[in-house]
Amino acid sequence: MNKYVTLIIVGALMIGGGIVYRSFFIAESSKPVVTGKVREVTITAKENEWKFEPEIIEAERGDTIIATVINEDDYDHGIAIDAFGVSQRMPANATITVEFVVTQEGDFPYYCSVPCGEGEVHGEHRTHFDMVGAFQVRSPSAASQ
Amino acid sequence: MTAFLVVTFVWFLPLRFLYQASRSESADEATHDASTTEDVHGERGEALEHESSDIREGLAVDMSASPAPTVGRATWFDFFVNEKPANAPIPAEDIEIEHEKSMHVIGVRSDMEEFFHIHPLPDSASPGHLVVPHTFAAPGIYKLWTEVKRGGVIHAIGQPEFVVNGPGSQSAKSVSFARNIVVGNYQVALELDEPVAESREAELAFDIHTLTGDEVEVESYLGAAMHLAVIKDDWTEFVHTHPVRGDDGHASQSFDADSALFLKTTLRAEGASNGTHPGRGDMHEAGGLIPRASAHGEAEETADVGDDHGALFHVIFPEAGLYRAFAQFRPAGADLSPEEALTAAFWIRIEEQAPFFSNWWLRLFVSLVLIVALSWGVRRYLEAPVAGR
Repeated sequence: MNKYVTLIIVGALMIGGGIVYRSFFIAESSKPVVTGKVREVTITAKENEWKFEPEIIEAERGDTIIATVINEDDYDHGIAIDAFGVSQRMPANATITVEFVVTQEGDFPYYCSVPCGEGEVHGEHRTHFDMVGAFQVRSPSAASQ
Repeated sequence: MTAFLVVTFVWFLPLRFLYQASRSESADEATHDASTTEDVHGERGEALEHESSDIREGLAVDMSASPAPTVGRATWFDFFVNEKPANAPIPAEDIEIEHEKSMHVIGVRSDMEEFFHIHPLPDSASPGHLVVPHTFAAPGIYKLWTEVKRGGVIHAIGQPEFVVNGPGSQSAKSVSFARNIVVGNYQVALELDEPVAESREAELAFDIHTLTGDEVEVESYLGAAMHLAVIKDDWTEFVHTHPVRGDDGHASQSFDADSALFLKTTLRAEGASNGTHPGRGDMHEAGGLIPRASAHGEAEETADVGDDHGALFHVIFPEAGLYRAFAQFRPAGADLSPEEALTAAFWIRIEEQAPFFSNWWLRLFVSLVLIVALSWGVRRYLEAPVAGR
């Protein structure tokens, strides 16, 4: 058996170990779920309001989210969802599309990832740090208990 | 290559094994302590749990409320700490301060969606009486537990359930096993090795971040870094624990065997009745408590919740079923009143049977198999003659 075969076996064992771990050792509740169900949402960065709309987006675990993100401002924003590995710049007056799967149950914030200033909005001082929303992901089976 | 193998097999893996083994042993010992005595001894003191209706002698707490609890109107709760069977009042000076308060009161609604934690104060005009006002935000059926400490013993006493009248839905039970939730401007993650079996010690680790993912420090509050109340959804089990000793909870606190035991406050509420009462309610209302915590099995530990371990609790769930864990913390610099804290609530399902092999043993077995396989492969690789020589 030459070195290459040995290396392949070792590699296969390591990969096999990973597969075994993911198959048998991760709790059912912790396994990523993908249902294939598509949920389209629109998120808007409101013009000079330093605010995302809507701020709360509900989804079911396993949904594929296709988010159309509109930037109404004359300056850049960004959208980041740490839990799902999303981080994308939103150019001024542009619309982008972000796609990801909400594999876990829970509340997952999304926020502006590009410093974008601050200002007065209807008498309220708002800043870049106020541009925060959240995906509320629930499991239909769990919620029905 | 040799250096890698030496580091892996001589240093890293043995250390990892010893670390896991020590954790397992301490868990086993703790489980034994709690299950054989039903009480817990540690820095915090011995803990006893009763239902008030079951107490025939010894320290008791009798609850009364006036006016009748109604949504939006303050109800004064009076807790009479007395000695049965004579009903002799126990003077305030005989009650020890525990986490900066003479008494802790924890209450929930039947759907576990409403939660409060308040602290009555001694009524100087009436020996043995402690009073506190509370305004309910939602109607429904409630139950509360009182905790007082005397002679080094903490008495957790379940009180009779009562009704809060008022407009709105009386129950809104919604069970979700989310492990990352948003509370105010913070997100709290619960890390728990599931499935969790009854009568086995479980490790609950809480990690707090801002909504944008930055780590969050919590400040000491009432002498602890974080408070955790775990209550079964049928109200028959109640656990109230803190991750650190009753000091000021500053950034760095030592952690030793005593404080490890202190974490295992398992209180059994025998005889409590009631089923689940459906209903709805908007999330918790935290009448008071605590900050951030941490306590894991390492010699020195910092109180910031942002590290990989976060705030760690060891809890033994006495029975299978649905529980809700209410973790209370106080982020450093947050705009909260002195008695206010944030509450993160998580549902946890406890199974009757532990897996035939615990996750730990399964991991050990697979690790050994992989180590042997890897060693064999590497050896073959090294011994194989190089082609062409």
